[in-house]
Amino acid sequence: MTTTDPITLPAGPSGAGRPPTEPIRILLRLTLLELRRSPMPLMLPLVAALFWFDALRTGENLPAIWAQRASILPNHVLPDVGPIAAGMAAWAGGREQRRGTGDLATSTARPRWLRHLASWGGALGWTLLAYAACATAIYLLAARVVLWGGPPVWPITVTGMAVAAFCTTGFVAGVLLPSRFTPPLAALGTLFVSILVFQSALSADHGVTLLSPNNTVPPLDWGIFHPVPPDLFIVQTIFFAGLVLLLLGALGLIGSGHRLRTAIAVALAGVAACVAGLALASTATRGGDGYEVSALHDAASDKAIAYTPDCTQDSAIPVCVHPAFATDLSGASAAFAPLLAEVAGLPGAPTRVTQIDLADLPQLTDARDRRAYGQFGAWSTLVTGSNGAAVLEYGFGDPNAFTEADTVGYLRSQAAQVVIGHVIAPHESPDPAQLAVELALIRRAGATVDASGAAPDQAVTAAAERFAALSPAQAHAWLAAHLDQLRAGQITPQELP
Amino acid sequence: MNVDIKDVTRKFGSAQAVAGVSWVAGAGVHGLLGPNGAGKTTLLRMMATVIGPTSGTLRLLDRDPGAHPQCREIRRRLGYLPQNLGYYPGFTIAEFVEYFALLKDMPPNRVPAAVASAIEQVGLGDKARAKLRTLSGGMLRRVGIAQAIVNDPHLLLLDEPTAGLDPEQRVAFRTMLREIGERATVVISTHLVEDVAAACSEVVLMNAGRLVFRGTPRDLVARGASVVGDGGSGDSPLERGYAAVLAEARR
Repeated sequence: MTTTDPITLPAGPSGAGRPPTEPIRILLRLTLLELRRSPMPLMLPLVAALFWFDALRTGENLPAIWAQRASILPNHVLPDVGPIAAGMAAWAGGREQRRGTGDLATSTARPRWLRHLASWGGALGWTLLAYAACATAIYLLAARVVLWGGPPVWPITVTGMAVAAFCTTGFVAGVLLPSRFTPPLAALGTLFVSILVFQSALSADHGVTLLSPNNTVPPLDWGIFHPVPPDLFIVQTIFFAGLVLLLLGALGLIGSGHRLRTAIAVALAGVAACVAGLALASTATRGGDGYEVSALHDAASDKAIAYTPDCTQDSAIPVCVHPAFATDLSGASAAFAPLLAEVAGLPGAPTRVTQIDLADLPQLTDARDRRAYGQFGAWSTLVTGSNGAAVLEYGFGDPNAFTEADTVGYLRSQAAQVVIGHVIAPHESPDPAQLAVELALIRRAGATVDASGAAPDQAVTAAAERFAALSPAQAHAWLAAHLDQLRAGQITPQELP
Repeated sequence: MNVDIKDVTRKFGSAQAVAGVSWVAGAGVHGLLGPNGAGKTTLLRMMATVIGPTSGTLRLLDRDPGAHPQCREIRRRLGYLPQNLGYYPGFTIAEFVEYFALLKDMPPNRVPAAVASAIEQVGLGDKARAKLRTLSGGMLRRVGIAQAIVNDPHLLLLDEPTAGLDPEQRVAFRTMLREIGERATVVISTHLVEDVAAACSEVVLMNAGRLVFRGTPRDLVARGASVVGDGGSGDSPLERGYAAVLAEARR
């Protein structure tokens, strides 16, 4: 037995001691330990299964356009990864209470916040790893089929930040309510948010609902002709980053007097970011290729993206598509070919058919066209270039524009009406003979005759049927010889062959 | 003094766990004895800065644990083994000890050597990479001791440290305690008087929240010897002293 007189150890003046030991280095080392022994890898098989079943299969069926494929991240990967991550993070957050290490940990020099930050870092690390793997798979598969452009970065950033916010929410819930019921409730709660709240925000499409990352479901040609403005992505990132900071700051304020000022500063920064996000989102307006926030918008980013169109080489009138839609070239050519065969070489006929951004097409004024636009997302118009040559411009928002018969028929009919009208009666309403030729050519082009107006009289119908019965060569030869007279109103329906 | 307690009380609701304890302790190994519910663990938790006193003053290592910067300095120099050691089953022994070494604010570059030394001292060097979930109760207790001593503490508080240890391990543990007690203040809360007899330079006996005896183990033995004729109980002289003091306190 050791029996010694009590001796006091040299302890130095009260409160004085060696300076704090590299808190960042300690935090990093603790986080590495947490990463190595985190329960989060248990979620990976479930995440992988959900990802394959939902995100991957959905993504493979989307058009091979970067913006379309990238939309899988917020719309499918987030609800696949986020809720599971939140549940597992809640489990990690409640560990100290569950394992009974509270007394032991409290007796250590480092504040509770540091332990929580390390544990949160471990949970977040695995969550982001799982998310990164999903995003990489989506983008790699997209890269194999996308024909033009580069992968957009902002959807990755926004979704990653939203996943981090889900993970942090679950972790804080686990710390505050360390119960066995907290992890499933955190998972269900975040699933509810990601599926019901975020997706229901889609229909609102304005104000703070735009903070929902699901609002970034893009039309087909977003980011093709003009870049998608990053404005709303930036706002969403600010908001979710603010949420993460707010939750972490709140964690620092709970149960520890240490680092109180730092925790308050972090929480206030989070509040500021959230408020800024809310305020900026309420000012967002929908532009041609995305949402614009005036406070963030850079007009230089509106500049059209240069590209070289893919055009048919063997036709009299070349048909062109944007290189992003190069696989549609043969479909587009087939859709317009019968019409172009009828008018090729005639004065006023288009010298080229080219695809343009839907947002750049003139506004429709005809109710029938608007209805059709809503149905097929496609329409066309004839414009005259500076050199006097006519160009048929068309656009479509339907990914199956040239594979579905209805859409092809619509595109052809609409183009036939504007092209044939321009060739036969360019400056005024058609007279009976012009109308008869138009009806005949539209029918010969395999297009549908507009039936919404008043029915033509019997003489016009009879003349149209006669003209439609001519062989292509006969009809074309007659038009080449008599087009000026026809345009001048010097031919009657009875005089038509 | 490394431990300077003056008239400290601690209440949990209406229950008073510690009632006016005063105690001064310097370097050496101090045994804290007492029956269940005597207030030993509560006193130890206060000394470990886990909870504060309801009243009275507590100074540890010449510092006030109620003031944040001083509390942190105390905790840097503190080793604590709680009665119920919580642990993370997925951690290895080395990782668990390293985790608490880092939380105790040890310089990261000194941690690996300190962890290896602490694990070696408790005889688990060959199992440093074993997961905690694979260990027996006695081994887990030794892991708890390793994390308590990893920072070479000036104040080492051990609550039932020998529970689950086999006789050979207890002997080694007592030797280790005596070595640490030569340079630090070690407080062991225990039911096992043989631990006290073998390792402690001072014995403090608590009953019903009060300190009812303070002296050397020899003093406690003497108290037992004086009441043998009156029917004192116990197999060893120290147990008889323990029983005699408690019997007197309960009168």
